[in-house]
Amino acid sequence: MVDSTAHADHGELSPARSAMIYVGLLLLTVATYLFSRFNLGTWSVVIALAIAIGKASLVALFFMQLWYHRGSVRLALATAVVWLFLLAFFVVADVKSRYPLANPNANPLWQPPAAQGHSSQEPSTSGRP
Amino acid sequence: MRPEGHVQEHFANIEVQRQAARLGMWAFLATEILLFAGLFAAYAEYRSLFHQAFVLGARHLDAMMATVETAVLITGSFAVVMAHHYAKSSKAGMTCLSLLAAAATGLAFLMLHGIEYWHHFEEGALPGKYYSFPEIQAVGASMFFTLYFLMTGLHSLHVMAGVGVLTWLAWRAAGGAFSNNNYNAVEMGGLYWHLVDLIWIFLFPLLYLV
Repeated sequence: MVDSTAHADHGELSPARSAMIYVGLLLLTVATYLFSRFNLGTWSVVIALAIAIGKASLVALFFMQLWYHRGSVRLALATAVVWLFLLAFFVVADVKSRYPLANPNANPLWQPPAAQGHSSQEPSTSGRP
Repeated sequence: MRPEGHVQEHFANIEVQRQAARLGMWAFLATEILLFAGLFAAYAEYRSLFHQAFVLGARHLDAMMATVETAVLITGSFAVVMAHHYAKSSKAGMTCLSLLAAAATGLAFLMLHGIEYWHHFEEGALPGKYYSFPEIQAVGASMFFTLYFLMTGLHSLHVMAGVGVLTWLAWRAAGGAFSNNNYNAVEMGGLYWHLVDLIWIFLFPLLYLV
């Protein structure tokens, strides 16, 4: 895309371009606030995260100069982001895929309550702690 | 002052030395992202378990205040970009001023967030077993506020550290420490400040907007 040209003007982020990006970031901040005032259900999460990723990309690429500095420094950020998603994905996948290990009656540790009002025996209906 | 603009003997030239500093800084920033990754993963898990409480919690937090805080942090990031630019152009006075402006935005952010914390203390929207906020009694509401305090608290600690770093850099800039062949410290301090901004960019929608 811009490989050769961007590499040639090594690490030059002009004040004019930074000012434009600054204004863009402020506009996106206002936009995400305004979107959040409407109740769009799942879409509000999608829009809020999309705007956040857009803002974060502007900061990382231009303010943090990743657009100009190629190679190893980009790898450091990419690795961290991949690790973050792996962690979040498997934690959520674990919790969401749990199921009751036994129905109450099939649970060998469970005994029917001897008398009403005695609540120390709680039949477990879920495998969650 | 130590002449840091000089190339150390184990580097081929100044550009290699700069790249090494950058890579070292980015490796550190990656560990910072991983530090927050644990909290983001916990957020994803508890949000999926207690969806209703998290939506109500986010609706209760002051989104307008957080929008202003976001703008303040972005302004700080821009100030640091300008400081980097001035340091490269050997303009000591402007470098110092830009760095002080960035540190001031950090202090402003902490003040605004302190006001938010104060409201939560007054209404009892506190983490864990100290939660006693009557308006939101959905299951998991205390978990939302636990994560809110952990995530914004850890972030605020980073803001404090950033203010310290920026003030120290401003002090050095005033003494004429930086010039067009020695601006590494400004660049690295700036990277740290941008990361603080970057993390807030995700905390803001997750905690306040959705």
